[in-house]
Amino acid sequence: MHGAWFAGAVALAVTLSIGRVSPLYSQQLRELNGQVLATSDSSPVAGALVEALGSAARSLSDRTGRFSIPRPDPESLRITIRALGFRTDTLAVPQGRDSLTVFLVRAAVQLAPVEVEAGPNVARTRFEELAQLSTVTLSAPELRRVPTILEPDVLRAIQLLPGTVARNDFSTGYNVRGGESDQNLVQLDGITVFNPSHLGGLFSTFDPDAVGKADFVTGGFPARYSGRLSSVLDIVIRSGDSTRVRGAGQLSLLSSKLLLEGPLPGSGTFLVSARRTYLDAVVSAFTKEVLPYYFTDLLAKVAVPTGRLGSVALTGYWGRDALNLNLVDSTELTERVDLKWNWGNHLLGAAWTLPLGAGELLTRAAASGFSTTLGLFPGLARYDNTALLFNAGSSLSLSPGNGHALQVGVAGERYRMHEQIATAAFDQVLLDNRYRTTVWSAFLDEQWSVSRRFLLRPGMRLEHVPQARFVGFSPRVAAKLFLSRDAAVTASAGRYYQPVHSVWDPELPITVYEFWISSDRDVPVARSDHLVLGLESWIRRDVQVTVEGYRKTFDRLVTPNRAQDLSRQGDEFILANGNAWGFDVLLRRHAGTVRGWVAYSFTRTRRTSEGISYPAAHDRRHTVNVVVQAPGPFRSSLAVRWGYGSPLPYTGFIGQWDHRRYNATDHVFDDSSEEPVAGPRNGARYPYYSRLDAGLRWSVQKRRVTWEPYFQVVNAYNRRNVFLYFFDYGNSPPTRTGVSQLPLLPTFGLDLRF
Amino acid sequence: MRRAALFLLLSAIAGCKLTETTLSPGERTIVVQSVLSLRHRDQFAVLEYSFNGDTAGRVKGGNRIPPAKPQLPIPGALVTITHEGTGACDGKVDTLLEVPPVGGAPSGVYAGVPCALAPGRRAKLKIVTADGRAVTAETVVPGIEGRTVSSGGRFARFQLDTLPLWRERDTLRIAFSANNGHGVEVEVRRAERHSDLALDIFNDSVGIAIPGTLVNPFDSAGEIIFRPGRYYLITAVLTDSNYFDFMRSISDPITGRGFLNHINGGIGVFGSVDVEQYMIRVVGDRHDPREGLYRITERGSNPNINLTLNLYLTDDTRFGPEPFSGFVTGVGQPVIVNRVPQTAIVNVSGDGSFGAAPGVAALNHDAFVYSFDVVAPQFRRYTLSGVRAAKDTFPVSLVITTQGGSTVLRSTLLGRQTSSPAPSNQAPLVPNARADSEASQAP
Repeated sequence: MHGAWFAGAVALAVTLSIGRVSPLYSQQLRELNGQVLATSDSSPVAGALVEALGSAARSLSDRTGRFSIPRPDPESLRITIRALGFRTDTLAVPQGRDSLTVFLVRAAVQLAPVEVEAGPNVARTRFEELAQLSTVTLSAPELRRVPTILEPDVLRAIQLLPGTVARNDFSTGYNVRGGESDQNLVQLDGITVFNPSHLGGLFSTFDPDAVGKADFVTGGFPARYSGRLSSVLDIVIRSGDSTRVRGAGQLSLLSSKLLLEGPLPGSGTFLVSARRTYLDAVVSAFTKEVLPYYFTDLLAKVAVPTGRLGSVALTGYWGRDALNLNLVDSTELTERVDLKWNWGNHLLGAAWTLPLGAGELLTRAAASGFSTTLGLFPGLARYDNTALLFNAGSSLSLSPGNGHALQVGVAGERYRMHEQIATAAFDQVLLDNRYRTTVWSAFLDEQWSVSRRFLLRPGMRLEHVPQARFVGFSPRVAAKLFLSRDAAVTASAGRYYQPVHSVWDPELPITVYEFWISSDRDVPVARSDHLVLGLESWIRRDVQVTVEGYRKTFDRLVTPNRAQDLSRQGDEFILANGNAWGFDVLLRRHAGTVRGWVAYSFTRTRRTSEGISYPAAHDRRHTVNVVVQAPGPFRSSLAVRWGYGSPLPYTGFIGQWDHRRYNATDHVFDDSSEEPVAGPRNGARYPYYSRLDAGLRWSVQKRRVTWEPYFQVVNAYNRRNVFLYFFDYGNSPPTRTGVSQLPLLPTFGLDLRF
Repeated sequence: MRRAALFLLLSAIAGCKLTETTLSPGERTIVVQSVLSLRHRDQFAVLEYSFNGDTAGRVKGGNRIPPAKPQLPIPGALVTITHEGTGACDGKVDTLLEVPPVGGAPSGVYAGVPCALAPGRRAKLKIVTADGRAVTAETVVPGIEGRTVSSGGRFARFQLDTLPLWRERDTLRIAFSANNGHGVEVEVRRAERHSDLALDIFNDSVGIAIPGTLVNPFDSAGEIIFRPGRYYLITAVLTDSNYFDFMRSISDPITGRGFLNHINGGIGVFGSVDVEQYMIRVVGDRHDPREGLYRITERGSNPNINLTLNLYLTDDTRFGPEPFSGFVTGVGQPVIVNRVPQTAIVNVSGDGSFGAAPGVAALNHDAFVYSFDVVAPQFRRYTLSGVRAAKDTFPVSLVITTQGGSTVLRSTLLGRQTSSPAPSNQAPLVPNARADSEASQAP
């Protein structure tokens, strides 16, 4: 059934687009295609304004630095290239040359954040040049100013965008357009990050000062992305400053961080960011209590230009959360017993960008891992889960002209997952599941400006998973028809496969992190089909209005099997299917003194498993998020966020029972514990959710240091949003007591830049 | 473990408690809990309703069922067990009868002696309540076909065989070959006091190893499983899949799901087990001069009471500030049974503490109180107290009481420590072989 409507949608889109190709295509002029790169590290310069002198032709470079402008034929041409933060350059393009690469020198001036934001509008550029739906880009300044609990956080910020449901204040997991939280691909400079969260999501995973921008794609993502069904969060770590060493830091009662960046000797740049919480030390110093938790992480990027050979960038990240609790002190007779729970991501990747005329060859190799251990030490019991991914691939981007931009690529991924429960004390290995999965893939992604009014983006992806005996063909197509210069109708359809899965129960209210397994002969490759129809309109050049409706199917989703036989591999999951439909609305102002967005989402999503159909735990009908950034009192910058979420489902209880303990020695029952009797699965709903956050930030320059004190209030009206319920059916009348999410929580701190 | 991670996190970040809301009573679910034991003739099922907030019909219940009863017992049900498989019981239908009401309240316990269970056979439970609701379930009975039970270099030869376990050195290993077994459960209890459960652990294979130094990871105080100077009863259980699932799963307090239910029309368990039991005699390293062997006798050349105590300091502070446990062997006070005096053979373990004793006013690390129970030919509790002397004899006060607490004898005996650990604390004076030799027979 799903296949039928999906095939129909693709066929319709392709037919419509082909029917329009010929007459419009003939209207194309001769074009000059090129790419703007930074001299320091050969990194692409997005948003560079390229103007042909003596004509009205102008263009903005896209995120890869590429641009395309019409040129008189066969005359020679002079162009100027302007980009914020770079010296303006003027070039003569010889007659007959249709492609070039331009290297810009960075301007050795420090630009205030507000000036940076006044740069190119990425969303508008995307609107004009790409058939790419469901995508929102957040810049670093926007990320920094979204009020959050302790510090700016990419993951928290994207939870405020349309199509996204965040189930509560504590979970870092998020659900996109009806998908599960393990269906979100998070990439850091193109490297997959398995579990991008610190404990409870109170701290951001990646230093927001190091983030250049974040693209969030909630559906219909292009063919170059793979491996997840529901969304892509593509985070780009910016290259370090090429002019001098700079730094940024943060001091607060909870943590400190330091970011250093600058030029490397010779050429190239570096950026290093390190953080550590020390609330554990603060608590120990001022109280008799022990807070046995801390995290630390390190993020680094080195970008080295290699002249005509392009540039090489290395990105690395290492993070570790650790919770160590002494349960039993040592005595003369016994050893001490500690609870140790730690987890972390670690990744290292290299990207080599080689300009090839009007094209570019990007070659990546990376290793990404996640590991966690939870156990009673020494040797009593431990749970280990590791997920490792080694991948390498190349993609060739070509701009053959005539409105075509083609990207083809191949890649190989090797997953190694391991899940083990063992107890050295009992000399037992209770669970020992290993997964070895290889994914070979190839893709083609064509961005075709069929005419000034019509953009088409056909693509396809081929994936082969030998261990699962799986070959998947994923057609993808997106189209954009401009109704006017500022309005367009958009559509996309695509098929997506996912060979890795989390066996975390999606109905638990918190996703601490995902527990990963990967496809093999027992574990299937999950599938989802997307169909998206939308309308995007711009008011002036800075206000964006997007409305998108979607329908998705989910097949062969993996959910944990609680009846799993630990001694055998292959029964650790139960399959589920599902579907989702809804629509998202985004009203966003990109420039001006008052900016921000209003996001509204309507969603219906259901799952079917073991013959039972039920609403998914994130089946939130209405979600509204309003984010406003504006000048505040006392020369501050004000940021306000208000969120509303209609009731989320949960499984209500209808009673409780005495789960008795059988005494096999005496053949009696001799103890018991009370446990709930559940009602229909996800058959009840929590009250609606609402929260207002506000933050003020000041910026003072003194002695070459920019001091940025800030003050934020989370949940300003102290609404007691329900986190979960506890029931008591043991007394008459029965009662239900809720536990709230975050109460009113003021925070303050100080950011430094030097 | 995944669930444990969540609960840890929840407790770490729990928000504020919100106002309590009153609900309407929920539904009453039939709860059935019955585990058939291959080693017992009597079988039973506990029938009760779940709590739904309506207290009508609730009675005072207890945890140890039988003889206690559940709080919401289901009276008047028809409970049958149908046997399937080859053998004499094939096709036979047994009825478990409701245990008569106690104090006017229904018991909710249905018991009987069904046709003999046999490994590999299927037993089907059917319950029809007085209001016509039906509950069904079935189990395939497991059976132990072979076993390897070892500790301290010795293998158990028969049920209730006593194995030595030197706490710091030995591991108790239990492995079964099974007919239809799904998992193993091991209960470790004090031999003299079954209510004292030291460890209950299960594993979904048919073998398990328990090191002597194990600390109970599920006990927040880090209780040591095995304490030297004590006998322990090891009950090794081969489980079917129903009972194993019943043990290993819970309905979690957040989603309400997770319990692996194999009852149709209700919730609970209908499972079956095969059981074997062994004794272990736990010894260990000794470091304190007060540890070791003591000889306690009546004065005179032909004493009635002649006891040997083998003491180990422990950390079980339920018995006093400087607790110890010890084996006691020998001959106790004769008991008159049907006017015939009978010898009281003593071979048990007991508990005591140094630091105080009746009549000793100040803290004295040599003052002690120690008691043990002798159950045959009649129950007698022996309580010894006094002040130990390291290199000389010392008086020991003895009080013997009945189960009801009546004193049957007060006497003063003579005590003497015959061995103690070496001063270097490197090796005990009492070698393991000697300690083992004193465990010739378990109580």
